[in-house]
Amino acid sequence: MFNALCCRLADISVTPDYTGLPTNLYTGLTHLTNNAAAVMFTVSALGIVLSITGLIVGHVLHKQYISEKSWAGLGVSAGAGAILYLGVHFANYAAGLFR
Amino acid sequence: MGSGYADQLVNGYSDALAAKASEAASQAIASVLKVLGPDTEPVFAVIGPAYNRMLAIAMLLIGAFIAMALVERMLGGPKGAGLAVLNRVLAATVAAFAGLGVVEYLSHYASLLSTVWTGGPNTSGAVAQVAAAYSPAANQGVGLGSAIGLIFLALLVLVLVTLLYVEMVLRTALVLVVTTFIPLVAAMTIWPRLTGPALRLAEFLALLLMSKFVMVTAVYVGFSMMAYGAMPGGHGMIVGIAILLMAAISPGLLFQGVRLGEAHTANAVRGWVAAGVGAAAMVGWLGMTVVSLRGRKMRKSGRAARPAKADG
Repeated sequence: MFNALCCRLADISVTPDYTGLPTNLYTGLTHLTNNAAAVMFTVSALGIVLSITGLIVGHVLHKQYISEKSWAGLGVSAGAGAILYLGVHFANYAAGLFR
Repeated sequence: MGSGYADQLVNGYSDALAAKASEAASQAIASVLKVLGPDTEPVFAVIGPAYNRMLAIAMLLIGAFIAMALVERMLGGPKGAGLAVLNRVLAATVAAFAGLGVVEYLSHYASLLSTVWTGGPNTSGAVAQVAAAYSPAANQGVGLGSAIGLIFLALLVLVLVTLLYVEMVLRTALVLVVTTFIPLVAAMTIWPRLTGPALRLAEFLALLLMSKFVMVTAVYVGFSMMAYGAMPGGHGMIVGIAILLMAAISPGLLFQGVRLGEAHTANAVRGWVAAGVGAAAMVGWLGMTVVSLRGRKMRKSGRAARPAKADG
């Protein structure tokens, strides 16, 4: 929709040109993004374990702030995968507006 | 007799050379406003394929930037992003797609601003008068009092007009190159740690677009001063060289001014941060003092209560 408007105003069409990219660059960038996502999931798993440990420690030692921090950490760690998934879909949706 | 003939010959050649150089300088001056006109505006259709490829690269990297922002948030870094990453993704994608169109739109307006002086009778009159001031007839014995001086000044004028032209071409190329990087830089802003380059790129692009307007204004004001006798020292090539030099260095001055502004802002921000850290340290020290005083008080009251219990 926006792209059609831009085309009419500026005579230039803007669409990601994946076919023009060299194959090794395409594969490399996809690999890089997958690696970043893998790092994120590893940190997320570590975060979940540490948060649950923190919850138990906070409960046993009756330390309110440790429990609160652990709940917050657990929320972010558990939701990271979902946020990544949603983020990529948001990007695809926004890109779709310009097609 | 032989040396007199040689002198005559040399003088004749140098006068002819001075007249030619002066004529060339006059023509160069007449073409200055053409150099600063719409001919040197960037053509954005040229970078269409490059922009599309950069957009594809940016779209492939968006996932990595989202992941990095989330990792920093989970590790407790100050510049990570949680749910806010979704808004940032939407904004970055829209900026990446619309960047080329927006810059082209702004460039048209910048071009429109820079053509404000190049049309109209006042400008053409001033340019005609300045070009006449550079003509061979007007410069007989004017340029530093000798033919060699006149040749030198005329060559300097040619060099400066060439410099203006090179600056214009450089500006056009830089606008196109910087615009090509917009999708990648927009994708980088998803991770708040990388927003700095985006701001710098936007600022640089705005300054590039404005630089032509500044140069054209400098040339116009200088020519008007020279043509209508507002310049002390009257007419002459040296005054014209000063005007061209002013036009050539004006984009540099513009950039320098903004850089100075940045430095002042950075100093101010550093000052605020230092004041904030100082205030936080003071509050922390006060808090620690209050806690320790309260602890002592409670310990004292506990000691006082124990003998009473023992007595009871």
